[in-house]
Amino acid sequence: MINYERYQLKNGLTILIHNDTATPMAAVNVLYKVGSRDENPQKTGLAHLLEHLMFSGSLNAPNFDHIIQSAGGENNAFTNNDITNYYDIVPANNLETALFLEADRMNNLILKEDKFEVQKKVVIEEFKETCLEKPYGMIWHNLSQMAFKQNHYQWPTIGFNIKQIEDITLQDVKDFYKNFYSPNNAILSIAGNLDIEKTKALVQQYFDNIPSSPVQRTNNPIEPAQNRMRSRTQTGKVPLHSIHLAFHMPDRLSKEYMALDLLSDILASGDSARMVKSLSKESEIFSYIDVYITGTQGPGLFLVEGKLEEGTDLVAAEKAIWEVLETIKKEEVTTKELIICQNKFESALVFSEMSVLNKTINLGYFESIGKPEMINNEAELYKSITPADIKKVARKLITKKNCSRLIIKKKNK
Amino acid sequence: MSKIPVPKIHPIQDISLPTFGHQKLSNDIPVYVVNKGLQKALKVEIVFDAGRPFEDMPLVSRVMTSLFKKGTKQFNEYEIAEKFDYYGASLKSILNLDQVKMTIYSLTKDLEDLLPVVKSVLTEPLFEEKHLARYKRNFLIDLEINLQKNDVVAYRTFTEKLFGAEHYYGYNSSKELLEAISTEDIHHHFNRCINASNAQIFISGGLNDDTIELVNKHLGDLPLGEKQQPQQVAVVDNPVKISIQRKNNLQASLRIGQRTISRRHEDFTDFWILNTLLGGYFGSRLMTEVREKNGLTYNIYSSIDNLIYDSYFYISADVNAADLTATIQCIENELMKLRTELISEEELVVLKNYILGNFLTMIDGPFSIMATVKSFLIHNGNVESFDDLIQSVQSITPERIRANANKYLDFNDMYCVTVG
Repeated sequence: MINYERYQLKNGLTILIHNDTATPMAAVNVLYKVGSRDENPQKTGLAHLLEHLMFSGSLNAPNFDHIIQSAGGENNAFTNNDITNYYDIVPANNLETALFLEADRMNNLILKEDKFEVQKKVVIEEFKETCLEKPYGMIWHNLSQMAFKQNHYQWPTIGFNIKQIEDITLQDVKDFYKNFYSPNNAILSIAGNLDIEKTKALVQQYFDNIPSSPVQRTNNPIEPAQNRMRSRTQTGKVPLHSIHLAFHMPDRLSKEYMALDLLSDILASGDSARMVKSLSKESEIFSYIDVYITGTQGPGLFLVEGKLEEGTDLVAAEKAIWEVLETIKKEEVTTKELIICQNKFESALVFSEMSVLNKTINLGYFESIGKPEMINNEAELYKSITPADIKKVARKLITKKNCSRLIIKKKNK
Repeated sequence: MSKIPVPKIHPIQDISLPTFGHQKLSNDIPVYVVNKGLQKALKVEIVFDAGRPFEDMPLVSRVMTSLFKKGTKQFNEYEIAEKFDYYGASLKSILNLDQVKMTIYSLTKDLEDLLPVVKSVLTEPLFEEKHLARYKRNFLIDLEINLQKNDVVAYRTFTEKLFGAEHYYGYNSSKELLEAISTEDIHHHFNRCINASNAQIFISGGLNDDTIELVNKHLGDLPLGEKQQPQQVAVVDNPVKISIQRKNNLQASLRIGQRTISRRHEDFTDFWILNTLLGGYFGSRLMTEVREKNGLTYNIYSSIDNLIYDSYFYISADVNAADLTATIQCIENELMKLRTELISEEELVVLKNYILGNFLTMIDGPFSIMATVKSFLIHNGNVESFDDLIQSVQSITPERIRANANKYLDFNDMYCVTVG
């Protein structure tokens, strides 16, 4: 159980504070409700590039990293489709330093041409390193484009391509920062070995006078229902053939989301899971198989993907996947399978509570989906899902017409 | 816009390694215990001297580690997996060059049901032919993939040159070495190394009163064996600069470094601080110059790899292929600066505080405490060296840093491998 206090400043900043006396550290997390889905389709990669630039100095803290390191702390950040998230961990007696730094870059970020050009180069190297130079590194680009025709989940956070990143201007970044990085669009979560009243006073001191400002969101169209299977086969410089199936699924707060999350675990989490056991370990059709959901706030994807053992036939392999999926639609999963999932959930929860940083990030995340209380009751909610619920959602959504299929064929040498 | 002063930074005081327990199982396996934390979850690591220095034939420790959980006399592969999946627990067998580790994460209450499986894995694994065959097949595919990656080729070439292809730290996996391994070889390695005489156990987390007793009940009768000694292989030291050219690559990988002093050497703590300054954290010289000022790479770092019987220092980066020469020049300049110039008081304060803060995270929570204890026990033979390290950080001077750079960071003495 994580006890926390939650309140808002008059500028709209939401704050969550949790006291944990078992650690000598304190963690600070600032979540901005802006991600790649908020980008203009012609200027993708902007949210992530701005994340890089948030470390390049603000009015009263010209060198962010130096100050946090002087305080004995560390920090990092990540961007996804929905949010941009910054976190710091410092010795508890230097909590104030982290709050000062986060407030200053929320209010007074300095964006200059020279640092902008350097970070653009860094991000382009990141694009090469993580997408272009890796076998299967472009799968996500291809698959999200197939599944989403209207919605902004159709491009990955790093950006649609290098060209678009190159074309981003300093003014684009400034406008994006001004529009989205305001207290009313942010969540501040703090946890660690701290005095709650003193912490509230510090929050007041550093964040209260940051002005709020209206946030303009770009129009992000709802993805129209898919009514026939989309299919694409391409050859690539990959070591093994691979199959990727993507199914549209409902948003984060739906009951069906939880049912599909559990289903993905039943199919592929752990060596005893259904697909891993039957399609990889026993029949040796796949050398690797995974099932997961994208976990986005808006309607996302349920994915099945496998890399074939050398010499296995692609058509037979895909058929084998569909056979397992059909079974799920015909027969309810067993109570034992469901208990395994719930035990996993319970254990993951206990382990995640061992890290103060994890707790801080999670507090921010659950607040961002509008359900802060889920940090404590998510396990209970998942427990309410029945085998019948899973069967029902599988029948509805795990269908050919709701599927995008991408096949990557290994190039002949 | 208003001017806001940077808050006063409070010094980090009183860093000391929390106490830990030390006892022995009935068969004399040493057990180290950190019992701490509100959550009733734990980590048990069973560590064997069974890695590369103890091999009769190359690669056998790696193959054995990978096949451990594929079935025992009592449990098949799925039964082992399902037992751990059922409790949301995990069992991993890991090789870190020197040692083979069996690591269990579980809720404390579930350990009792899991230990019989662990015992079976450690005493009666089957290492069957069919699993070996499949492992070989997949290994060769992975090898083929990996050999396409510049960073992997750079790493392989670098360590092979550093120690020699015949040395246990220097050899590289290959089709020939893999194909030579039979199930008998694996059993032989298992029989020699996986026994009570070559084991240590590390337990951390929120334990129950009977946790250690349970571990003794199941592992206190692991059989004894002969204490294994590392092989004696001479290292061939002859620094070279190698450039492997590849076509159509966007990025090139580089590795620059040399063998270096061990953790027991009197200069080690100062050299460790020097390494942190050069490339051990985000504010390091290399990160600042190569990434933040020039945008030549997404990531660059330097590191000291302390193996049990040797140590080496290296710098690693993936850079835009066209910028390779510029990057190496930049690295050479940074090494020269450390050897000739004194670090400013301001930079030294940042460095010291960063490191001290980092020490706090090293003792935050039972798993981190145990990782620190384990590392000092294995590499230094005692935990008092942790205090020496803190003492060195608190007393370090610009002169000591420069003197160490002169002793241990001469670009001319270094191996340099570039691929791309």
